[in-house]
Amino acid sequence: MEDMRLMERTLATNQVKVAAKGVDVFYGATHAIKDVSVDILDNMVTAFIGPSGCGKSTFLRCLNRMNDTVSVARVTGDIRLDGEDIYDPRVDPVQLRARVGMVFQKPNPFPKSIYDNVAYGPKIHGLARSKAELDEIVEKEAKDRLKEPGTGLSGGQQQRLCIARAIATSPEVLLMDEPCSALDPIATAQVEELIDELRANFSVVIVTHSMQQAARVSQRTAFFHLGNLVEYGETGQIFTNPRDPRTESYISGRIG
Amino acid sequence: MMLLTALMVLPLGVAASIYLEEFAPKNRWTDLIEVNISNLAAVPSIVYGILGLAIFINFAKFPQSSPLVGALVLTLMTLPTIIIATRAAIRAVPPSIRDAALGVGASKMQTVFHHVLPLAAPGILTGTILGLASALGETAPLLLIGMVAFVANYPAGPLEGGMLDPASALPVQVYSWASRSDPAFIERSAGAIIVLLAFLLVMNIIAILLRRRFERRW
Repeated sequence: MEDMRLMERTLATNQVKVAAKGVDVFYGATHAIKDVSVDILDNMVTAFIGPSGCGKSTFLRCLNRMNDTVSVARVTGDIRLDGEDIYDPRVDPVQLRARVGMVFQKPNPFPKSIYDNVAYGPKIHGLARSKAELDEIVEKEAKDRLKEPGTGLSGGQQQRLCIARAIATSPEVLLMDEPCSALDPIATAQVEELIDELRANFSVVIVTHSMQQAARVSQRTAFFHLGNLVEYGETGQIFTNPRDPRTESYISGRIG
Repeated sequence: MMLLTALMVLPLGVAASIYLEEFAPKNRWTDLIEVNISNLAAVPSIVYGILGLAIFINFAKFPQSSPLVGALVLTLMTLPTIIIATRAAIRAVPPSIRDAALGVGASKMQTVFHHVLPLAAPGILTGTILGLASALGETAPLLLIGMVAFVANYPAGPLEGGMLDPASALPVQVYSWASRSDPAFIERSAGAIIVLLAFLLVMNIIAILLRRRFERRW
């Protein structure tokens, strides 16, 4: 079973992992996302950039149905993970979130030990049959200071702990919502390095408001403005040769 | 009697708060329930006594002046207080913890029981103990359900059906002793008051200790 999944994953390299078509999101009466279609490729880092409030985080939260927890939010359109409609009523959002992991803006480790933080996901999904297996999963992600509380770490370490916690359930897609906005440059560099390593095994989607960061870590970039997807393409092309005048004015610092 | 109250009020109050705070949809019904709970917390305790008299004794035919009825009345009385304290404690758990749990694929239930509830526990415990402490000193509702009567025999132990025997409560005892003109009762009521106060003090100390013990920072 595990081998099959691994094989499929290798075969699907650089193929479309998540396909979103005509996605609209409403927060009550506000039309937050307007007809967005994006194909997210496997084993690539895709960056969502755009000014604050442009809907990039909202769109990100559609990809693992975190918007379900917001009672006024309504999502329409078609989002497929490996060709499977994730908004199908038969799809359990809980199972989906095990396949599509998420790292949040503010580091939010559970107020427990580092070990418990990393072990929590595998534990609730029954990924480990014994204590030894669980230990093995945890050791893969975190090496030392396992008994110390996760909240006692520095901000950058906390964020890396959150990333470890997210990948311990071995998801296929990893969503990151401005993971470095609360971190200093050194911690940011460490997280970015980690993101680049993660690309080998996951498809990573990162929301960021730092264009430099998008340029550094991503292979593909999507630019959002006022709920619209303005432009989506190779990161190099977006930053050196944007097709849309709005993208150009954003990356040159005239808007946003 | 107080133990029985605690046993009834804690699960009921915590369950109601979890439902209202985490699962209930926000609509007119739940708004109405919320307003009602806050209002019930402010209802004078004697009203609960009348309610207990009407429902538990006259309607359900439970024996008069029994600790069972006393416990039921005090449960009703402390329930709103405990629901309010518990909801505040649950609401104080940062939403980022919920996001974190949901983000690794925990279900709503797992999120609440593995993360939110343990983090809210110190607040819940403090609220419960303070609520119980106020119930402990309550006289008025117990007067109405007949727990004033002179009790001639020792009530049987709680496990041998003593919950249905006539009994009295400390604050009521103080009330009836203090109103006697007999000088012998002055000392007795003073003694009863000291016992009551010591008990309250102990409960409050337990509340503080529990809070210290479970409190976690994030």
